[in-house]
Amino acid sequence: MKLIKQNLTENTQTIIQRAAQWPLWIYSIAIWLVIVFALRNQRAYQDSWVLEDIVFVVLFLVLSFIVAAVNEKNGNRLALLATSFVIVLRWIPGLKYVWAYGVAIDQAVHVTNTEYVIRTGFPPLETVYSNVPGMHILLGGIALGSGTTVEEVFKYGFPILMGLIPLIIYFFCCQVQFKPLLRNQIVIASVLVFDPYVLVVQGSPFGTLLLAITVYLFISREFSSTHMKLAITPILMSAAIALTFSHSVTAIILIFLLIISGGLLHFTSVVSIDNLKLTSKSANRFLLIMIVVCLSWWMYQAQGIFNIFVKQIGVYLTQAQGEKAPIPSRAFQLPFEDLFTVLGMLHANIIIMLLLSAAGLAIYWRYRHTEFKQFQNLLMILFTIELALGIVLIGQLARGFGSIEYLRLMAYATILSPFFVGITLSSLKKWNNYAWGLSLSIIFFISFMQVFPYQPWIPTGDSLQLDSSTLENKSDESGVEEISFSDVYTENLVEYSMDEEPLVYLHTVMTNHKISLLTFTKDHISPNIRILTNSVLRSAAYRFWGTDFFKQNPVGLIGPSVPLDSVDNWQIYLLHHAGIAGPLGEQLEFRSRGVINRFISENGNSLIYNNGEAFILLKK
Amino acid sequence: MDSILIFLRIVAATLVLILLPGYVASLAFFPQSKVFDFSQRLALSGSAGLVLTIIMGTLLIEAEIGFYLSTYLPALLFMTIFFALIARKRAKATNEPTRISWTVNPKSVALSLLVMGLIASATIFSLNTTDEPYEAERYTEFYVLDRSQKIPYASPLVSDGQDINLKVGIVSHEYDETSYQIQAKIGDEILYSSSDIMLTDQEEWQGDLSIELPNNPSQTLPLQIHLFKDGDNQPYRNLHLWLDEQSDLTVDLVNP
Repeated sequence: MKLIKQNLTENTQTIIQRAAQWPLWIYSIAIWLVIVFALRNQRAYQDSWVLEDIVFVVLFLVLSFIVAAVNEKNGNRLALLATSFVIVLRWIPGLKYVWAYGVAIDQAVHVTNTEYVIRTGFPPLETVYSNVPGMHILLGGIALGSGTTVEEVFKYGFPILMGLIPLIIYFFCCQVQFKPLLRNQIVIASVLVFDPYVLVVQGSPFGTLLLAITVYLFISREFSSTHMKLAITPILMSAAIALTFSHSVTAIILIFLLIISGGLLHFTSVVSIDNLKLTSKSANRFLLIMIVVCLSWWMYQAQGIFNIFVKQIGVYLTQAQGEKAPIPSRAFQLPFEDLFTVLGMLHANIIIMLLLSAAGLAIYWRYRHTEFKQFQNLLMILFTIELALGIVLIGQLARGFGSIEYLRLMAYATILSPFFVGITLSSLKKWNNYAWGLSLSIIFFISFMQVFPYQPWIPTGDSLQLDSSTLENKSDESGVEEISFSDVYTENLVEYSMDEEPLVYLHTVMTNHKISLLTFTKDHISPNIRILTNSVLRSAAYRFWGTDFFKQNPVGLIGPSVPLDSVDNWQIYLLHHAGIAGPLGEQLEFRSRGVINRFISENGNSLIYNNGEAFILLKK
Repeated sequence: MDSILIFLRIVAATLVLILLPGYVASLAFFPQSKVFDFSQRLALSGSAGLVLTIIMGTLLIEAEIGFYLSTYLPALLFMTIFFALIARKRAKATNEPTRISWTVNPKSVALSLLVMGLIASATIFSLNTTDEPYEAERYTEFYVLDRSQKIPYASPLVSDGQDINLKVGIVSHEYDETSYQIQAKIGDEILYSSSDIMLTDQEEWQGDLSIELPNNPSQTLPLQIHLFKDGDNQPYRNLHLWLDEQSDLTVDLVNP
């Protein structure tokens, strides 16, 4: 009887154990569904937003991940879950769109440079990335090995590399021996480390990945045994060198962070806390080696970057830089609810990570002498690095967000935030399991507002409420004149049907309309013809014309805040409508469909190419 | 069909070209097999593979050898063998088992089979459902070029007293066979209407357009060239060229 009872108990346990794995199966199916549905909906035009037609399968993926992660107690499996989730999310634009996602100059230059590297064996000489070819070598190597195009490697290979972030965070947690509960929450939080450039291939996310590897190996090393230190050192040094070869801005930021946080730790050790390990000789040696490696590379091999670096410091210290605001300047002309929506789509993930980090820091401070006593030094180091980032950020704010940029710094900050977010999540879990699960879901969905911004929510021209009657009425009120819209602005905004068009595009797809236009131009243009175009088409032109084209034909740029007819020195003018053919970066009053159509038909120029959305004009 | 195969090739290449050398390097640095679990080993392998590939590629470039398939793969192989030898030596020194032991776990086998089945079914499903290259927008390119197949300059179009010879072209991206008609006119006067031009998807058509300009133009008017699709009354695409008005303008469209 006893034996039967024991067998029954064992069987029940086996069934429970097996049943506990069902979320993993469902999660695997969700991954499969996302891949298949995204591929089935592949397209080469700009739709309403990145999740159009696949939103339900992605929703299913997110929910199944949350359920699987909540049920998973094994850290090893949880890290694999987190990695696969990050990779699949980053795959979505590549799977869904024929061309690599993004229309900025970075995507064009990186694709072109990588193609150049594998075609000629060497990086091109003229571009700003010529002396930092790390990413091009890595992705070019995959293209060579797989026999596919660079474009495809950017779509599918790059996201796999970004999946290393949760793994390296998990590795770090294991090395510093966090308790399983806290470690698991940190790994879950690592999934929310979405840099602001999450969906596009740029240098910054790659720099962020190398920064994560370098920083986490560096701190892991500080908290390891002597034997382990020796083993980590070669990979750490290799990571520092690879970072120098790959992304100069991130390398320099890392040096600044280490210097500032080292100084802060020295200060805190003087004040109250002793035995801070970042001030150890080996850490100082790493910092010194990092500085020597960077400066050696820049001074002897990458003088162009060194010149930019020196020039930027001069500009930073002496005069104002070109502004690069974290919030679009027009945002403050919007009604409050629209402003709130825009801010959410630009910053939701960053804000939620900041809030949860702040809560985690408060919890850490409250229990620093009890629960977190063992990790006091470690968390202090992480905090000082974050604080150092804050200091650099405030410096940037004071200088009007110049070349280092707000979003880049936030990307670095989010890389280090999972620990404090993990503390908050583990406290929630200890307090109430259901509250924790619910909070996790809410946090994920708020974060995804930024990751997959819903373009139709972006306010349209009419949200500025500048129709002619309103303008007349407002003219009588005091203060309206202070806005001082130009004549062109009011004229265009009121007269040329831009009510339906969004003020800004967060959805940026490379489209066949544009590629047809660019291919036609390249195939049929004579040398020395002066071309004029907008920034989006010019960036795409780098991708599809190659850099040599620009030596034969001067390509002028129409600014984002000037009328289409403000430049006269051109022979052919390349234009396209915003929308299905992709986004435009100009202010709405200068690039609405009505304004472009009027310019095409009324300015006396000949229209010699028309594919419905993209056009070539010949100067009258 | 291509998309899923390309996707799988890149996933496989990334794992083999980055993870495999990284894994061997991680064994060289950390020969102890029981120190790390699978995810930690994966993190180390990925990180090591990534940074070592960058350094190796940069060295190939800096040494003026160049980064080609013929140099990259041998260098990668050399690096992997180098780290494998170190790993073997260090494993011996630490008394670590140098060969992988296999234990068959029925649950693991079932899991592996299921995952393989999922991947296979996803592949077959995708192969069957992506016969069309992708869901693209349907559109048509409509253009004029000069006789040398180049984008014309502004000046020849406005010269008077000479013949202007242009090429008119259509490129169909409509996915189905489509009929087009071309019509040329100045003001309300229709100068030419073509017969049906049938094009399949991705097919291009070009015709010669000859215009004889008068000697005494009085005022400028655009020559409008309309493209009609599938018998529709409304023009599908429009082009316009600014010319000098004339009384005896002739337009001929000739199929090539």
